[in-house]
Amino acid sequence: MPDANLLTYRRRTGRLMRVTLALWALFALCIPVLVVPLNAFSIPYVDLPLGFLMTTQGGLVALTLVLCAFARRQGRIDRDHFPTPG
Amino acid sequence: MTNSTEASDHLRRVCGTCALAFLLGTVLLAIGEARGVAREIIGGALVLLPFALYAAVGVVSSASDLSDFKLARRRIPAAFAGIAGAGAWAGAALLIGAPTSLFLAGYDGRPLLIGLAGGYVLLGVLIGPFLRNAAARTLPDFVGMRYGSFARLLAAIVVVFCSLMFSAALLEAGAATISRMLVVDADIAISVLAAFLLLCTLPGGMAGLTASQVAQYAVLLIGSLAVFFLFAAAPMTALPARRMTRSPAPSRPCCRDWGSHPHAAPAAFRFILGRRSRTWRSPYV
Repeated sequence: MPDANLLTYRRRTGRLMRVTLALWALFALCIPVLVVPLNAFSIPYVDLPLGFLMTTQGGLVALTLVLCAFARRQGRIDRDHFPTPG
Repeated sequence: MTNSTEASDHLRRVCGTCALAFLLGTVLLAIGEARGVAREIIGGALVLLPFALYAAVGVVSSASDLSDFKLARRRIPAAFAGIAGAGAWAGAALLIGAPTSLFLAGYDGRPLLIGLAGGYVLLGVLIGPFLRNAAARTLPDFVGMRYGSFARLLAAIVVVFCSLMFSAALLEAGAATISRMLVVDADIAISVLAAFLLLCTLPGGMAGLTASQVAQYAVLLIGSLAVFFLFAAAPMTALPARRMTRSPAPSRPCCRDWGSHPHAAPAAFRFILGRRSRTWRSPYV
């Protein structure tokens, strides 16, 4: 039977994966599908419709940030449960 | 540890040298253009200089043994592995493919952008950590470990098919650029490009490929920042971009009529040009 440390590690890793995949679905699937309704909103200052900006630039930036946050968080989880490398 | 430090130092030198060489070459070409050097020579040098840099980096980073050739001895630091991945991501597919798809197809071209970025997220979350933990060399190796030899064969076929399609698209895009800038036939352009690719990959394997992608990242970063600042400064300065932004847009009957399209894109580049740039107006966006 797996020890408590491994079970906690799996639970935290699984939760992180589910959150990351949910964010991926939001930025890669939902927002591109809803681009026309989102265009009703306009970003102040740059004066661009929200849907267009999210599709061409914002989505890419968001996905990059999601990936960076995932790597950082997963690294912290790994260090918390398995302090020694290997 | 020592190996990793050596690899890190080598990649850092590669990155810095390529950035400086690209900057210096661009400045020299600008001086040459101001002094009346023919535009064909300037254009050819502008295309060949980065390719020569990548090839030189690939040759310099030649592998010493099989482990170095296949996996770069697993000593590439994480930061440079990320830089190499970013260089591959922001290559011809993003620089040429993304603006072109948006320009020609409007919102219908968005799957390319989202697919590239979202695919990296899926790769990082669903495949990368497990492939690393399994100490597999390739994706088919990993699939074979999990699901057997038949799945490994299927994975190899899928990977080869996808890689060939993607490589063909990249070669086509690169050859189009080279044939336009050097005014040569497309077949010759593809041959030149393939020769440069072989120089990047054959001497060094994975180590040389990573080093040349790091060099590509440095060149792309400097080039992109230069274009951004050039266009951002266009309304305020007399830089060449000002002439470019004032010139009337050429007629392109192949392009979609953005105004009548239900998903018509708005003024896409207004953010870059700024609100003061009232002289610039494109009929397409």
